Amino acid sequence: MKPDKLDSLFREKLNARRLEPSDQAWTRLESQLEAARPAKRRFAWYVAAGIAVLLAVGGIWHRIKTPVATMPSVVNAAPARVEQQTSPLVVKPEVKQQLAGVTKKSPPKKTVVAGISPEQQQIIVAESPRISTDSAATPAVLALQEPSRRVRRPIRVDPSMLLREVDRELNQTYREKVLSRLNTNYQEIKIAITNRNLEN
Amino acid sequence: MLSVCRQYIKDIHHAEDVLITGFMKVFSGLEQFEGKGSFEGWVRRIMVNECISHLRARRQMQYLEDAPYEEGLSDDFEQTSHVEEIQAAIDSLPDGCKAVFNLYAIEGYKHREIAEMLGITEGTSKSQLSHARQLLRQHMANLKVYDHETG
Repeated sequence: MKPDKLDSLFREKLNARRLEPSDQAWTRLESQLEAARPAKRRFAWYVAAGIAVLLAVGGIWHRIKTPVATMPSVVNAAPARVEQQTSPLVVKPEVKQQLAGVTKKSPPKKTVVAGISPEQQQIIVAESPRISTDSAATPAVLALQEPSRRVRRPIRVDPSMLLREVDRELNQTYREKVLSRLNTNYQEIKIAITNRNLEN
Repeated sequence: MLSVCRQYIKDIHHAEDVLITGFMKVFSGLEQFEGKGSFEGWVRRIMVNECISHLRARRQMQYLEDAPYEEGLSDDFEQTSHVEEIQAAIDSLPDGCKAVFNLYAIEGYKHREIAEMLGITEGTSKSQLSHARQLLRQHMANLKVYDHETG
């Protein structure tokens, strides 16, 4: 079929025409788009939040795990020594009580006292070296424990406390975030200036 | 694109409504755009489909009685006609007739495609097109006469 003159005229004219939608139409389109968008956006935020939480938990886990793994001997050794140290301390009052009981009983039956007292003395003697060795060992133990405590300090991370801290950071409002950030930046600048002044 | 909608829908506000729903479909279906052909063509197709479904929903698609398929009214009309006059001529057509003319003459669809889109037979599509042309020529001729009389 030959191209119709009427058709081509109408096509040309109509395709050349530009109609501008009214402002109302734009605002309506905008509001409809806004209504359609939040679902997607919210989903993206959930994903982002999930990733952030995973990273945070992973980071904490890593921090807790690594020092424990590197120094298991110190951690395991420390409680054993503490037990050693405490046992004589527990024994001691018992011995004293026994001694007190013996001394109280001693006046009416002197013969028995003579019989018992050497045993008791023996016990005391037997006891005393143990105590003495313990007391001799205590400085060494303390000396050993001293560094172990120092090393252990960074390990003693309370996971629940850290989690709480992370929670607090996550729960911070935008304003709080900005404020804390400003504060840290301010502190950094302050330190940098004081350092410079000291250098000068 | 509003111009496209306006071709099918006489009421500018309805045309805007259709434009908005059409654009919403464009945004929600952006992933479906395969990059075949121009983006504008794709958007235009969506708009045309939206216009047709709008007209269908409002049951405005009455088709004229099958007119004898004849060509041959004079091509003696003003080539310098204003677009407003052309739009007025299209507005004067019944909706079904108008849709067929728009799809065939402006969008360049084949009768088979138009029949499928509108749910009519190919014969109806052809007869509606000739009917539309006839009416449009009459309208333009009347305009010309009117112009000569007043001018």
